[in-house]
Amino acid sequence: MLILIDPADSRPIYVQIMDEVRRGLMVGTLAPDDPLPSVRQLAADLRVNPNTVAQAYRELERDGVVHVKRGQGTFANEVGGNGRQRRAVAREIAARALREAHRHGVGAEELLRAVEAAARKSNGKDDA
Amino acid sequence: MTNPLPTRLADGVMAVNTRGLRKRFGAVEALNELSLQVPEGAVYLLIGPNGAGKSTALRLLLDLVRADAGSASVFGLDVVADGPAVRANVGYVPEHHDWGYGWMRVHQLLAHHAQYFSTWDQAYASRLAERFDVDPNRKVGDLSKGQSRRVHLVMALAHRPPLLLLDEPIDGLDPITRDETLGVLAEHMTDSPTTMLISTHHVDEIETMVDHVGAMRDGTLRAQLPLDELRGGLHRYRADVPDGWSGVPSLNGSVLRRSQGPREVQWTVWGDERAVAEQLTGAGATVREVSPVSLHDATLALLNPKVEAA
Amino acid sequence: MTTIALHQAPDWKGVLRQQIRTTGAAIRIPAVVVGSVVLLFCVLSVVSAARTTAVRSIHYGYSFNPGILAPVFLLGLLMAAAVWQREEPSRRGYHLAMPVPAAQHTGLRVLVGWGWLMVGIAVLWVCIGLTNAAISGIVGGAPPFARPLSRWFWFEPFASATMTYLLVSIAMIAAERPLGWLVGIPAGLVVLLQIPVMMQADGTVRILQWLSNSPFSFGTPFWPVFQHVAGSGRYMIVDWQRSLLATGIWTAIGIAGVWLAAHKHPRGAK
Repeated sequence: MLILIDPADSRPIYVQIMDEVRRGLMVGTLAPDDPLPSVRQLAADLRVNPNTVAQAYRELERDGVVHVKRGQGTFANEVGGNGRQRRAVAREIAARALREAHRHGVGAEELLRAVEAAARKSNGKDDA
Repeated sequence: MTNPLPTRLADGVMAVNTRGLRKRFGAVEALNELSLQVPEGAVYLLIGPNGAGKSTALRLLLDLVRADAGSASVFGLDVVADGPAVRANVGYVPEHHDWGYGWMRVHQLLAHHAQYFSTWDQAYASRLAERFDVDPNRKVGDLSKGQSRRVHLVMALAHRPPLLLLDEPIDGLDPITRDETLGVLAEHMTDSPTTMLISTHHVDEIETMVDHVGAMRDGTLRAQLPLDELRGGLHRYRADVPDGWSGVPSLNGSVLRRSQGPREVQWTVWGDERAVAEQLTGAGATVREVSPVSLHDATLALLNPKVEAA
Repeated sequence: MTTIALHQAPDWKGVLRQQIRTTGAAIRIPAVVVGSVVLLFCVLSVVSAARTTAVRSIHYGYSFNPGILAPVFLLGLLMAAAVWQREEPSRRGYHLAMPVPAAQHTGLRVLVGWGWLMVGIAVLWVCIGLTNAAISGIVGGAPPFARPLSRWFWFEPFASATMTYLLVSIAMIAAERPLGWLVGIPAGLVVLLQIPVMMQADGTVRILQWLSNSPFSFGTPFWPVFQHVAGSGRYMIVDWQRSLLATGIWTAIGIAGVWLAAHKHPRGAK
């Protein structure tokens, strides 16, 4: 798994790190019991404050996404039936799309129809 | 206009604490009632236009400049009365490198420096010198701005001081070395607990390291607050407005920046996001977008010399 | 209160050792130049003495007047300039940012430079002593100045160099353009002293004459007058008590000046 952040993103850095770990678990690049990079390593790689990394890891631990083995580091958890996680991510993406739509004066109904149409088109392509 | 922004932090253990500092150089008022608070363990970014007094404030903490009024302490030690003890706990990267001992070779200067700091870590100094690509045989007086900055970074970090005062630490460095420096600082923070007070114009690059911000203008603080608080309280609102829009008088004083086109306005406002949006909507605007501001944009907003009407 | 373990300021012994090393390195080049000149002078003296042995007169063929030691005071000037080279008050941030009390730190550097100066002059004496012995061996006569008439003779070069060193150090520490002061003050005084003479203000002229003959007179300590005691092969400083007193006075002024300059720091500088 690769943890990447974007300083221009509106989400705070620690949230971006948390989202990256969750994403890794969802797409399978991070397997249960895989170690996460150390705070020192990740802070140096991302050029971020180590406290920010520590905060992200702390919150992930509290959410049950990772666990800490004393003296060994932080490890990914078995996230049983990650349907709840998937729904949370989907909601987040939807909220972002809605904000973007509103910015352009596009209503929710209109957006929903457009998403369905786009999905049909992309599915059709996949089938072909 | 009254300043809507907070300039005092909540009480806590401060690494740097200054109270009502004043300093005048001839006709120029360099510091005017400056009260900095840098909490222990913070990475505090001091922003401000050229001549705002940032360098003077840092130099004052080393007793290189003495205040006309007010007092300053570092880890509870007075910077004048306990100057030597303060300086033993500070790593300093100066803005200008015109600093004497120009006849020395770099390795001589490092050896000289090492003798003055009881906690000097020679192995770490060598590693840093290698990472920063410092040539030990160059003459100190012949170093370019960037090279001398790197030598100063080695000298400031290698004794692992509890406080780092970094005056434009990445200015004059090439993009790759700038990036490398931030990586070194991040590692350094993990390995040895450090408070950092950084003054720089390279806000974008250092943004991900920072957790506190102080904005200086004309020798005084316009804002001083944790970055989270700044992010939570400062937003950019973009809205369509009807023809003949007359503004939102209730927001006067909280608007830090404003740009207007036909039937559209963008404000950078300090205040509760929902309350501000409601006031804009109540005045007839259709808010299209509320976005958090980057530190770069926050800098422009906090230091905006213009008084903006809503 | 702070929660962290603070670092200790360095102890003076380590700082002193480092300053001895640093100052030693700072004066390396001038030391080599001066050393070469002295060595050349000594060798040439011996060679010229050897050539003139036929004449068998140290006073005609070879003259080794101790007056040659008088310019030793210039070494004090060189030393002060070397210790503070390229470190005018506006460029002394590095020195002042060190974790030691600034005034004492400045004083320590002055002291260390003085120590090196004394070592240098001692070496100079040894060279001259050896040259002297070599010449007397070759020529076969009495050594040119083996037995001065007063012990003060041996200390005079140390004292005059010390005095110069201190006075120049004041300018180096306190002034942004020390050379201007070092040239300007004596030149200004000379010009100033001409005014009463030109105006024929007899009273003032008399006071000035008295002053120039007093222990305050610069000439007394800097250029002691040596006199060859006829027939004895000995030299003496004319009026050595007065020379001693003048040197003492000017050294005291120098120490006080250095102390003041070290405590006046460019803290207001931008």
